[in-house]
Amino acid sequence: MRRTITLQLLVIFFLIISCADRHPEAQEKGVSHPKAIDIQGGDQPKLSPVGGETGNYVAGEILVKFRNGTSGQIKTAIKKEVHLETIRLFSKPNLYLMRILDGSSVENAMERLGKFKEVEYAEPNYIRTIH
Amino acid sequence: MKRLAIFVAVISCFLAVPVGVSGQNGHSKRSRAREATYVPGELLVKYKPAVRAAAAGYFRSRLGIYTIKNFRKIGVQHVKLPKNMSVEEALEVYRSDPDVEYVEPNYYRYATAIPNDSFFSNLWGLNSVGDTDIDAPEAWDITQGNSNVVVAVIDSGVDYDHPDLAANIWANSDEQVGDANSDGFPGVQGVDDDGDGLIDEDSQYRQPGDPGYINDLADDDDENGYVDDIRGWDFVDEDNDPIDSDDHGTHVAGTAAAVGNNNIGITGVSWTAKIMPLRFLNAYGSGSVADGINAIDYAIDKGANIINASYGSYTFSAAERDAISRARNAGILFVAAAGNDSWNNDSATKHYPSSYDLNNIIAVAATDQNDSRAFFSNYGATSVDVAAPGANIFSSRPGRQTVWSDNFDDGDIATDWATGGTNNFWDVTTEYGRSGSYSLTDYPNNNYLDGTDSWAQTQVIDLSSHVGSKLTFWLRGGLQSNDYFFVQGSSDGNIWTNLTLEISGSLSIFWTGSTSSFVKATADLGSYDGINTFYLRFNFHSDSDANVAEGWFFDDVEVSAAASTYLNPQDQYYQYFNGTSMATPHVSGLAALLLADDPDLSATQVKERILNGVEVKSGLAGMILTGGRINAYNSIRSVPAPPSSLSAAATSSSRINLTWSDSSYGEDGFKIERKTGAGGIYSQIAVTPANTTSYADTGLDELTTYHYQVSAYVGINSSDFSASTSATTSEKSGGGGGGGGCFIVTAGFGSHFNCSAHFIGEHQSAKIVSRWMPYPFLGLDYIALHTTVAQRICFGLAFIAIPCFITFRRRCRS
Repeated sequence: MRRTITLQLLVIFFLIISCADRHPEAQEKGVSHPKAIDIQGGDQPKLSPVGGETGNYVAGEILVKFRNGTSGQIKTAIKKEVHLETIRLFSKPNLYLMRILDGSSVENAMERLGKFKEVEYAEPNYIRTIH
Repeated sequence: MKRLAIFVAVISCFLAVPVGVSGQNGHSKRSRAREATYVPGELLVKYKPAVRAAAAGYFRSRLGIYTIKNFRKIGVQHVKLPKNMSVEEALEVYRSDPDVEYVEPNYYRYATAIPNDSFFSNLWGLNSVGDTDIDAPEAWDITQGNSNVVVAVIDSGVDYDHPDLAANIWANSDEQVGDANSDGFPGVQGVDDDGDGLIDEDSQYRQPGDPGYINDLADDDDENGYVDDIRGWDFVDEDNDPIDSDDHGTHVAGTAAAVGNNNIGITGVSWTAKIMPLRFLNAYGSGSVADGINAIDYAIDKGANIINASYGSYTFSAAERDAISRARNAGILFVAAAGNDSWNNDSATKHYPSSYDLNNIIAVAATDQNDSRAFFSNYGATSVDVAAPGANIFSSRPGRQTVWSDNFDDGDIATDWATGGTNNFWDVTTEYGRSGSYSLTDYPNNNYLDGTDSWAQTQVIDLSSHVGSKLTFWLRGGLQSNDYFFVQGSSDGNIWTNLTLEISGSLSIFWTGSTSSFVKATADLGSYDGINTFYLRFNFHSDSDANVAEGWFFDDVEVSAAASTYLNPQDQYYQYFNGTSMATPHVSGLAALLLADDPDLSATQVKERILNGVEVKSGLAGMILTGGRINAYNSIRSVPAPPSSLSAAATSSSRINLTWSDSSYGEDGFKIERKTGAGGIYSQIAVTPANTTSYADTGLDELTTYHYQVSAYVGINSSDFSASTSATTSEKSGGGGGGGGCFIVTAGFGSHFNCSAHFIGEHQSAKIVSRWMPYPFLGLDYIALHTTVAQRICFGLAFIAIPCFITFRRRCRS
């Protein structure tokens, strides 16, 4: 029993690694990125999240915007094809927050969704933080 | 105006008076001139006691000046001038009269609205000695806010019971806890209460009769999809309690709209605007775009006027941009922090939402007390609009209470913790302690073993009466790679959920690495609010290789929640923060003031007012769009900032060059006014285009002092005037003027006015005129001499002239 839990944890742990490695911004070349400034001026600890920097989006979630007029059946078909389930829908803008069911990466799901002309855009559920 | 001034003096009172060449009038400098400084057509005059009775009649008959009121005890008369006489002209007349002790304009005194809040002096961003503030008290003279204006604070929640915020928390008048009309359906059964085209829809937008309709929103009286949302919503925990378990949103809300003039704490930029608390950032200030979008749509739906967005990151989201675009269509201003990474948002990597190209967004950088860009503040000549105070900002702090804690200094683990797992050696230790001697560790006084999978869990913790629950603890120590640590929570002690920890700005569930000092870790426990059997568990895992280390040490573990009461002293409910997050609500609060003053302004008009009112600062120019720090007083009057550093230099007998600093943004140009002599009247002589900083005034008379003031204008609105300055043209011919020591000497005897001496206060162009004395030496004209020489002449004149009068006529120019 203990072993199974550990194995599950390791799976999650490797998922985090794979997400972080395929992070889109990490692959950009020649673009410098802001470095966080510790405005309190304290020492930065050498602690690190396992698997390097955590992704800047929520793992396993994707925001999908369908073009206006897309029928319910087509939405359902696309969700089934890409292995998504709706976490939440936004009434007015035809926007859905979806969970990726087949364990594939957010990038992979975005790529597959991009092939449908009914999908206006699909993007990670990015993290925003305080300033 | 051509006037003669005759100066007579008694011989025994002779004197020589140097008349300065520059003619700068010290008292005319006003660093913060108002539109009108005194009541037009009125003066306050004090005559010398002997002539007090006669003087009023004399001035009335001779100049048409009437006494409005006589302050008998102090001998001061409040007088009304005839229509054709300016205050400055009258001042000159009175000041040349020896019977007048003093005379002054009837100055306006403004009831500058300094609120009585006890920590008001801490709020340098609103009012400060150094004047690097936004001129809030001056703006409050015009409006202090309006409770019809709603600022949605999309943030980490708001401590809505805070004594300095509670009265300004928005209330959803269309919602009650429970089903207000008890009809068993959202809103009124059969009615589209929220106007979205759906009737009595459930949480999945299904209407009665649709397949799968579950009527799960029966208590949603306003039918907006959020049940019992009486004061906003918590999009993190999906409930109606937007309490702040971080401290960010409470701070931000206080700066925008803490209750003003209530004797306690602070005041917001607006004293009375309503704060709509929308929580989408968790206990460590992190949230998802999806939740942020929901919050924006909630604000739109519930009629917010302004959204304060003190958050962001460096990822473009089309969905988020669409949501802000919907806010724009609803007329909502979106005020967004530019970010704290000292980063140029014009570069390839941009900060969002502040950098979206939407005209209802105001992107805000931070200034410090020197009006420089705060060192941490992002910038961008096109992507950041304005700056506002953001360093050392004092504002409200949530009330918190400790629900459960352990600092391990009882030296005992068994009372509070249960341990277990493979290679379990968890215990307290004195190896390290952040507070006191003890901490908790996975294996005291030893390196951990390979293949460890052990845990320590708390006894039951009761969160049944708490909201805003949060875990904090401190850790130090070292782990080898592939060995890691994590924390779990449980509502029954059986099923455990991994908690995301924030440590030094990074988020993760699993942590490795080392630190030689204690660092803080935070987890959000909001999903356990209301649970009476909460458990917490520290887990440690090492891999099977032989690389091991000392492990980690934990101290000062605390589960806290929102306070239920606020204790004295109340200063514990306030604190200082730095950030563009703190600058942003200064702008939101100003927007709330603008809408209080004029509710008909559109979001883009409010934005224009804010941008056009900034004071351009050298430390910001070129770094952000306007190059300026906001100024509430300018924006609320819809005027640009006045030019600064006006100076005048005479370059010849007929030309004076003016230069000034352009301190305004978006001005149409500058208006230049001039008057001749200190007693003249200003009139406009030129208008220069936008961004000009100099003007050459030519065709002037020689040996004449000209005074100047300059204002910036936008359309029909002109700024306050710059501080005035003056210069004196040189003499036309080449000779005489050198050094400029010009003296007027007067001498006389038996003046029927009085035994006194007058000097010509203006400049060199004095002419000695002999009335009774035919001697040729009195025909001197344009005397230009050094002081000592002049005094000798004066003395000589005095000696010779007895008992003759010598008078001087001043040659005046219009």
